[in-house]
Amino acid sequence: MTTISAIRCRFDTGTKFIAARRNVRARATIPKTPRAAFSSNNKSELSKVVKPTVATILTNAVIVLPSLAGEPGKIFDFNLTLPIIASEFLLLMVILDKTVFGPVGKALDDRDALIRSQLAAVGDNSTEVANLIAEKEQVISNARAEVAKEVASTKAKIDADIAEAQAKAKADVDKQIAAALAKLEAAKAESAAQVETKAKELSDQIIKKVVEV
Amino acid sequence: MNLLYDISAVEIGQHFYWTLGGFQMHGQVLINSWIVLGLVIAFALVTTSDLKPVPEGGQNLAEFVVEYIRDIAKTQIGEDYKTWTPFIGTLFLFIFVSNWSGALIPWKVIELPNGELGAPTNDINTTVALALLTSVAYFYAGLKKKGLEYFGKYVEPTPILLPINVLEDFTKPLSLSFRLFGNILADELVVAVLVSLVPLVIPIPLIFLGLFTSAIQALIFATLAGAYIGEALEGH
Repeated sequence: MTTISAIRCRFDTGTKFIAARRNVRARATIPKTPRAAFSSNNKSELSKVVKPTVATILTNAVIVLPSLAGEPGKIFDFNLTLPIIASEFLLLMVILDKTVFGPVGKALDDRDALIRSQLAAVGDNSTEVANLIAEKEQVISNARAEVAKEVASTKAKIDADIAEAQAKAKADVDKQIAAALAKLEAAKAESAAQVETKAKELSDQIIKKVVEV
Repeated sequence: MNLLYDISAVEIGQHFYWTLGGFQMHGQVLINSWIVLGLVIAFALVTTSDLKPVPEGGQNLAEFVVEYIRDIAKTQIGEDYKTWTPFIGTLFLFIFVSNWSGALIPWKVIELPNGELGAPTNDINTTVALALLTSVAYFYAGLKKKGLEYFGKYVEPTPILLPINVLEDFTKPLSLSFRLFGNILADELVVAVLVSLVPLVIPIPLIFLGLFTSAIQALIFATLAGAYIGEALEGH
């Protein structure tokens, strides 16, 4: 506590507080010494440790307070720094506008426009797709018609072939039948002739016999 | 231990002063803002060196960033968003990289005669500069679109609200700047104080919380700037 009172005293008498600060810095190293002899006498040594710590906290607080309360020309110290910072800021703004916000912003906008136009183009594709679909239908129906035509012609040809073959076969058969019939007629006629001659012979023989008798 | 305490000492309101023509400047803020500018410009040049219709490598990241910011701008501003994308995007990237540079880079390793390096956004000058630019931006947007009729919005919906409407033009930059400044400074302070008490392990969750807060603050600043511009542009 002696430190604090000493510092207060100094403030009261108007001594520069930088002196007090140096005092604090020196004082801050104090915890080292009591810690060495810590084990011998616990209670009194503990207070010896705590005291400097508390003193450090309080002295720091005491140091901070007067300067916040307006130590002559310190915290609220307006001077040439203000316009210089302002002009530095404006300079930075111009540089960033030229390097970042302008070009990168343009790149972003360009990409946006590009994507939009591509999306629009995709939307327009629908007519193209419809045309392609119609063309496909056309091609398929053409192919179907062609195939149907071919199938029909092939069928007609096959039918004709079949009919022809049938006719030919019929003619053949007819011819054969006619030939067979003719043959049969001939054979019939021949056999009839034979029968007639035989009958004549037989009758002749009969007559002869009768006559002879 | 001594080294850790040296690294973790808390300094507030300490500045590394430069003088130019009788005016003072905060050197540590300017050095860090140059580093942030360098990082952002390097990112911009590397990722956009070779733009292709089909993105590759870094271009993907650049496009992600641009789309993210366009989305913010579109939500807040509406159809005129493309004019304002660079402004909102630069706000977002500058604040985001500033905040994270303060949280991720061990600036304490670099010794300055006075003050310390940190996020440029933990200096009120930076945040007020950004907030004032936002004010100028939304006035410009409104006046460009509607001419002097823009000032008609002060008596909308009723002239009784005139003082409040005028007051809004002051509270907007004020709240914007102080929100960012307070969050980043408080975040760095919390981590610094905690590190000065417990140098190891314990501050890690808070460092992650700080990263989260930093990102959120960048988003909030950009979104609000967009909202103000959108408000100035919309009809009434």
